[in-house]
Amino acid sequence: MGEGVKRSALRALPILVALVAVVAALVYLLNDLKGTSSEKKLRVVAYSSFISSWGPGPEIGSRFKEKTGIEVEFQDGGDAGLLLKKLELFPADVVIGFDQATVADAAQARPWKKLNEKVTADIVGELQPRVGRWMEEGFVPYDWAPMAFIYREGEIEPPQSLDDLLDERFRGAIALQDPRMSTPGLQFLLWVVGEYGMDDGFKFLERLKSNVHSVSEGWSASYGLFTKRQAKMVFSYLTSPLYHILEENDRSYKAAIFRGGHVTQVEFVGVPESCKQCEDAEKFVNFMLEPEIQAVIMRKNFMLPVVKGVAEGVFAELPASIGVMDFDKQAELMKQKDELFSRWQSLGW
Amino acid sequence: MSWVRNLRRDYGDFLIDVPAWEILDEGVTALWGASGSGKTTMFRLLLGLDWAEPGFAWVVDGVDLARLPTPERRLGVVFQSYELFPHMTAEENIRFAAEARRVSKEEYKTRLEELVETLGLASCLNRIAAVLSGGEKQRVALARALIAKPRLLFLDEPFSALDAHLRSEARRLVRRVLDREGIPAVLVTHDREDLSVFTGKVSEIADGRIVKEERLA
Amino acid sequence: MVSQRRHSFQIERSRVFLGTLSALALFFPFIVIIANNLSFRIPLTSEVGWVISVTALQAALSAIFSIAFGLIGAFGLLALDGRLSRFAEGVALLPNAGPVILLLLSVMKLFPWARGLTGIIFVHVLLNAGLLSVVFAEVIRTKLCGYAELAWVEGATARQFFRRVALPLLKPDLLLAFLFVFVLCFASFSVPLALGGSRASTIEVLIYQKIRVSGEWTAAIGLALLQTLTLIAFSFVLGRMRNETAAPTFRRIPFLIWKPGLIVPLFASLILVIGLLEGVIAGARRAFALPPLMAQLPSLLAGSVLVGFLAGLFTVVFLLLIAYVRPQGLFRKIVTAYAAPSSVLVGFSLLIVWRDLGFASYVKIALAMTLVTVPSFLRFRWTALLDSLEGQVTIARTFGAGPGLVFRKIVLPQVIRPAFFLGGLCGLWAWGDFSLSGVVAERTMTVAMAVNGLMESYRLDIATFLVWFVILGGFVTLGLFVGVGNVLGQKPQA
Repeated sequence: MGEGVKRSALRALPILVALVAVVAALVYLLNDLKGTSSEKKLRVVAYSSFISSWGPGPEIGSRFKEKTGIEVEFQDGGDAGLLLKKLELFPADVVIGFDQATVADAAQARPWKKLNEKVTADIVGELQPRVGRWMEEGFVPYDWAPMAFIYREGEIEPPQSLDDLLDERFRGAIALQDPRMSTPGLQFLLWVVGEYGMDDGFKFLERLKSNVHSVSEGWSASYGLFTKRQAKMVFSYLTSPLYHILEENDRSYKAAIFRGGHVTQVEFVGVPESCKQCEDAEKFVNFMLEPEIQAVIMRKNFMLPVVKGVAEGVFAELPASIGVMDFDKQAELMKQKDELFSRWQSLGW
Repeated sequence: MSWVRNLRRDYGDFLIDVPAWEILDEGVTALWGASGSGKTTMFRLLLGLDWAEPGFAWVVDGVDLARLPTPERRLGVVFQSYELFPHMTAEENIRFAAEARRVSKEEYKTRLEELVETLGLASCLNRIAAVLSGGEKQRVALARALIAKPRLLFLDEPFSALDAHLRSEARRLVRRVLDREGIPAVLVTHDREDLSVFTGKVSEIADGRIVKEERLA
Repeated sequence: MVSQRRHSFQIERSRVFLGTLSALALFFPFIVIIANNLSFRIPLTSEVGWVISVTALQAALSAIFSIAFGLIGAFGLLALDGRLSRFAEGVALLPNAGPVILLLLSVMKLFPWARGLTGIIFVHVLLNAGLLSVVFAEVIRTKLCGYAELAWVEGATARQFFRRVALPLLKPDLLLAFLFVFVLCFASFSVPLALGGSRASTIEVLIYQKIRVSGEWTAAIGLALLQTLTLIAFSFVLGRMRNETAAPTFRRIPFLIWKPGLIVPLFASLILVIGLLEGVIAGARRAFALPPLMAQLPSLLAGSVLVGFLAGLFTVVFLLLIAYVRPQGLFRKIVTAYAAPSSVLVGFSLLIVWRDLGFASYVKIALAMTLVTVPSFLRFRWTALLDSLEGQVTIARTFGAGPGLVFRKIVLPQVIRPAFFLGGLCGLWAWGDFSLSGVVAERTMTVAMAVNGLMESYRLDIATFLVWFVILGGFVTLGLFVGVGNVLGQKPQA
């Protein structure tokens, strides 16, 4: 009888331990979330890597509170399409996460506040003419980066233009992303079609196929293939090598600079008309453009600041003028996105 | 005796048509036929597991069973596969039927003792049904069917699952139990040998119709 | 006057009520989304037609190969006993835990030829063969042992046994397995896109694309509806199998044992582990050097523990509810055939009806996980399991037993163990989920979400390190549920 009881106890023990762990988790979380309900919070919606604990969000939030006394509550809105839908359900005061490709949809989907434009003068040269139009619609840029192919020094001879990508030396080397679900992927497609035109652009892509290692559904998968040395080159942000320099102390990663210039990724912040604390929201947007905060964004997002005089260190080492492709042209092309996507698909990667 | 009247069901490719059939009050009323003759179908129709066309009547002691749902017909049944609850002991299997039929605790005790004695269940009573032998399973299934003193006991090929040398023993046992309990039975079988120990009658069924009847022993 | 023209077994009110409740729960995502979005269109373009056929083709081939390897793996698992066998089964389930992306990265490193349709099928098999090995081992254990013994004694060859006895007997299970893997691969997302390029695409990809980039919700919902209807159609055609009753003991008959078969369940896990081990130490070092992450880790772990546990709990409750209802006729067919819509839509439907944030998000994630996985459990195992009890239920009802008694004494004792196993499986998957969580949650709340976030910001090595927590946590959850199931399902000693 004693034996049996002991054996059952032994079997029950791990179960009890696991159950205790569950209860502990429950208590911990309830406690954790307790002291955090107050009404006067500024609701800022952004995408997950912005608000993650290692992203710029938390630091910006705490500095904003220090300066103004206003508490910031960050919420994950996901990417553009999801973000707009979530906005319908969860009102926000500040929205971070639209880029030059999705900002048009955002402008159409709901009304946005026309923000105080006192910072225009300080905006970085290359960007100024491009973003002016969107600023009139209520979207303020907060970071940007040109897109480029990243490679490891010594592994291959970098390309210097789009045409160069067709060279034999890149056979099976290039990691791309699907334009239907990834912004870099979309950027590349628009770049090609913008440069060559619709028909010639797809002819170019057809010829490029043999040099493409893979087409991933997102940036992280393709970049992962690149860092794991599956692919020799990946289409990413010009600023990507900065991560490796600053966090990994690795200077072997380089960006291939093209003669004709690069397409650019610009990220915008906006205040919807449906905001509850609109004054505080505007303060927050201006705060994001202050040099010290731009520096935080720069260092944590690995993107370039939009305000002059902030970039320093390795960020300032980037080529001074790299040329930028036209935003309006991109917007025009985006109107034909259905055709673009179906032609992309019929290329049959 | 009870009379089954107008038992009819058209399945499209098969027809059961029994205008009148007598079920005896004592002993066994056997339904004998080859496979495909309709005996199992008729079995299920009488039990109420399948519906028959309107007009079907089956009056037993002034009660028309045809108008009652199966549980209220108070019939005991032993299927060919026995369908014992594998996770319960033999005793728990039997007790389940008693509980379902709302047999009082005292009556259950008495009945159980009787059946255990008649069917020789003492050795397997506390064993899990899943590990019992074929013969033991059959006896437990019988006890379970009889515990609540049903009006009639229905047996569907009760001996076919047993080994040949066990069958005659099993037949005699069932005969003993039926005599002891005084409960009439309807026995469905394809094997004439099964009928050798029973009294009553046998109705031969073919193509959904009763074609011949004979008294037994 | 009582009509004679009816089934003598009436369907009891409680079962009807609870059955309606279950149906509402199952179809909840569609109901909410359609109610809120009244307009949806099903884009019947040639693109969609082509995508459906490619999706069906890769799903069918993936299923066939998964089953073949799953059987081989089952024979390998059957060669082991007791604790070793349980350990091997755990290993077999490993590829199914954690984000698919990591298995993908490992595969692409070790098998660079794995591209296009071949690549997709290869990875799908790696993912599912292990799971099927575990399931088939159990089925063989309960169904075939007696026959195998007989055949062995009679001197039959393995070939004769398999051709004439085993395969015919296993046909219902094989068909169900086919359906299960088929649906899984049909709705597959990251695998086709990473390996297949845009040629070998799936509807799920289309749906995601319409939501993420284009914001075309009407088209997305239409596609989800189309996907579910297609799957239901397939299931109706294929899934009409009823299972037979099982014999519980197992003896190690030579026909059913083949040690080399162990390669199958272990292979995929090996690949995954190799991929995960690479750089994990560097990843760990960098993780500790990222203070904000370390500070957040306890709450992330707590979040995952809670979500995993709740997902398992909700699954068990739902399965037991269905076991009480015991769907019949048309309802049973629908329940077996139904496939949940894209997880993004499921997550969103919950958001629409329940706006609370904070603690509520954990519950919502768990609910969403349950809504997404229970339909496949129903199709794969649950309805077949309930079917096998029909004989016993019939006889009990002949005695006049009501649905409560039938459930408590007959059904529950025999389904409680599988219910908890499936619950544990859902909990395991909940540990590894980030896509559904990402839709529902308002910030990074679980370890898996952090893994995804890290991957999205260059930190693949730290992500790889964190995945070990996901795997460990997932398996502990599975173990917990299996353990509880064993305790609750304990039979009295003979």
